[in-house]
Amino acid sequence: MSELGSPVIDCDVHCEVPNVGALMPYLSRHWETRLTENAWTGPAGVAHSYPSPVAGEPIDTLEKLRESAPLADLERTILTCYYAVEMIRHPDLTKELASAVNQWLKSEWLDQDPQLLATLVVPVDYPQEAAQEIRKWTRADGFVQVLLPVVSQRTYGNRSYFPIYEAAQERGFVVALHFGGVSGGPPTPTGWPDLYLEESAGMSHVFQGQVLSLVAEGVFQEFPRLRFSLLESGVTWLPSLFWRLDKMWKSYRREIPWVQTAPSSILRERIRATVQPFDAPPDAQLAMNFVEEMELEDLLLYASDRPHVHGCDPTPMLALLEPDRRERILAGNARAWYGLE
Amino acid sequence: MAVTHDPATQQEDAAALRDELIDCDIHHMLPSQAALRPYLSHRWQRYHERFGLRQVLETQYWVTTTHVQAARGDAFPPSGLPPGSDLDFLRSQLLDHWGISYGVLNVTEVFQFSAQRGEYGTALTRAINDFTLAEWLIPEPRLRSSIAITADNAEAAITEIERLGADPRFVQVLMTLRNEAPMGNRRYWPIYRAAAKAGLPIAVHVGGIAGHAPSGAGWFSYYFEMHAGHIQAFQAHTASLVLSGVFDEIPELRIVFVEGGFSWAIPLAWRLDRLHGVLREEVPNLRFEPSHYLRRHFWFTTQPIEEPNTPNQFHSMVQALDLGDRLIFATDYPHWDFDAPDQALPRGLSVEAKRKIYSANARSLYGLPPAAAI
Repeated sequence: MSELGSPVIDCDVHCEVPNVGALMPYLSRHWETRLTENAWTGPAGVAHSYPSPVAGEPIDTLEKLRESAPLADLERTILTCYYAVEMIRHPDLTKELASAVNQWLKSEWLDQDPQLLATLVVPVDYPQEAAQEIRKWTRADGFVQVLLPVVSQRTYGNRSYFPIYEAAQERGFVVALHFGGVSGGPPTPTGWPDLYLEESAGMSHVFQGQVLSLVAEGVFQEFPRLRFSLLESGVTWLPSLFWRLDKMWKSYRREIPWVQTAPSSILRERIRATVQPFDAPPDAQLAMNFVEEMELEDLLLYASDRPHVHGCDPTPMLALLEPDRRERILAGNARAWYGLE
Repeated sequence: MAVTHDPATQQEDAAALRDELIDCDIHHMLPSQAALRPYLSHRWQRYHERFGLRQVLETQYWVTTTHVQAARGDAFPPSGLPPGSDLDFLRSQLLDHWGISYGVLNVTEVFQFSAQRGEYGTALTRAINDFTLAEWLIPEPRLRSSIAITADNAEAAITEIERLGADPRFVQVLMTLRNEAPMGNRRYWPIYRAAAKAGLPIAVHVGGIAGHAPSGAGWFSYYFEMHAGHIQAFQAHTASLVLSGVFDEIPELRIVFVEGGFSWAIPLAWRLDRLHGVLREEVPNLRFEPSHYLRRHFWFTTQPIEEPNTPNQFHSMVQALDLGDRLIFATDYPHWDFDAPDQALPRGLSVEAKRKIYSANARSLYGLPPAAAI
């Protein structure tokens, strides 16, 4: 356990539904019977997004959660439970599963430890139902954000998703785009990759497509208090995307007149990204130079993304930052972003 | 470029430009579809006229753009022909005006022709290559061209590469950005082998119609998104090529990314190396770290030039992957987002660094003889 000398808010930690049985108390009789009869073991999308070399040891108890903390002085932990409910096309089942995961999060985790916060699971492809689910909960329950898997059937700026954003803004929730997701279509603009490695590397460009869409479709104008967290997205691609969006906006703003300032200035206000994984040179000094030169420190939220395996540790880079900047990334940015005391 | 009237920049640019300028992305086109007739057999003339192009519907995104034919307002020739279709006008407005010693043509029609299925696509790409040779390369010795192919029909593509590859006026093989599969897929390897055998790089230019959504996250609504989003496909291709092992199999293979920028490649190289560290069991035969291949096998044209907040960020990005000898200058004439040679590159690049971008890197990539020889 390494020490960085200040409190830490860990913004991306994965707890796992141990088996479908854990959700049964929260499902209707109808679905409990149907799923049991079918001997269903849960959506395959979880293992698809995290095959065994990167899955890590599942965190399915509070003890495992506490033991896995990489840094001392943990102030808050934001749990994210990706359950791939989006790959269930049946409108009632996807909705019930999402609701069951939220109830399970509330009673098995949030009610057990006041330090914990969590991310709401929603039936993302049924935005009206997703909005209903969001409105069942409040910040007082311990939920701080809504999970949208970054791989989606439509880009998230699309108006069809607006009911989700309306509900999230109303409740004061951040919207969290997270690595992974099952859309049924290829996760690249040019067809199916052959390898998991390729798909995993490519997830950063899927994030880029979503950010681009949110800007272009005017989501930030339509929902002036809504904010987006990018979880497990990688962060070092942000400057390159900012440059490109600003440049294209200068040329094409007549097509999207609601975008009235440079996209990078909107995004610097309205998005944050977590530091694990951190795609940077292995040399911590070079990585830190990059963060400073590209003015990233205000955009970053600390996260361990445990138990996932990324083959990198942003801690040495963070240790090199001057204390004030380091403190912001470790906790200050997250406190302000999620409105935490 | 934001810095357009800085006297120091313009002086430096003038010094590097006087040396030589090679433009690696110029778009010529047919003056009319009828101009293709002499290059098509009777059967395909009939087909072209009576059925016409299929697989082009995605280009309806154009309807909300503000640039007619995507062209510079002043690129419409006095002859009344479409921009890029009048050789005399292109000579004076581009080649003579900027003192360009070599220009590399990427014919506009390729973006639709190469997506046509079956024999029709084969006939069209062959015809457009013959048109380019007869009406552009033979009359104008400063011009070079890409060979148009149908990437998803490898057999026809190889025939075309073998037919034209020995002609020094053809300097690369052109694939459109969006095809049926990511570029590392083995269906494309025979094309890469044929190109490598002919000593030609594979150029990849924005465009193409694959049938997949234009992002890994679904369909966009606006042309702004299409245009800003092309870099996603470049990233998907880069990961695919590097991880596929094709560079171990075909070490001579060189990839030229046209109109895709370069700054995304740096964080992608870091990401690929990190993931390779965790997941190398999935690619046990890969001989080097991914960044090794990225650094050695890829070139990037400059237009549309990256415009960071400060010129220093540009330098830092180039330095981070040591790409100074991998950037090659392009104007994208006659398109609206033309990069003017004296204004596009950021302030503060050394004359030597600019010289490499303006000419030396492209000369060595394409093996072009000194300009005096033409």
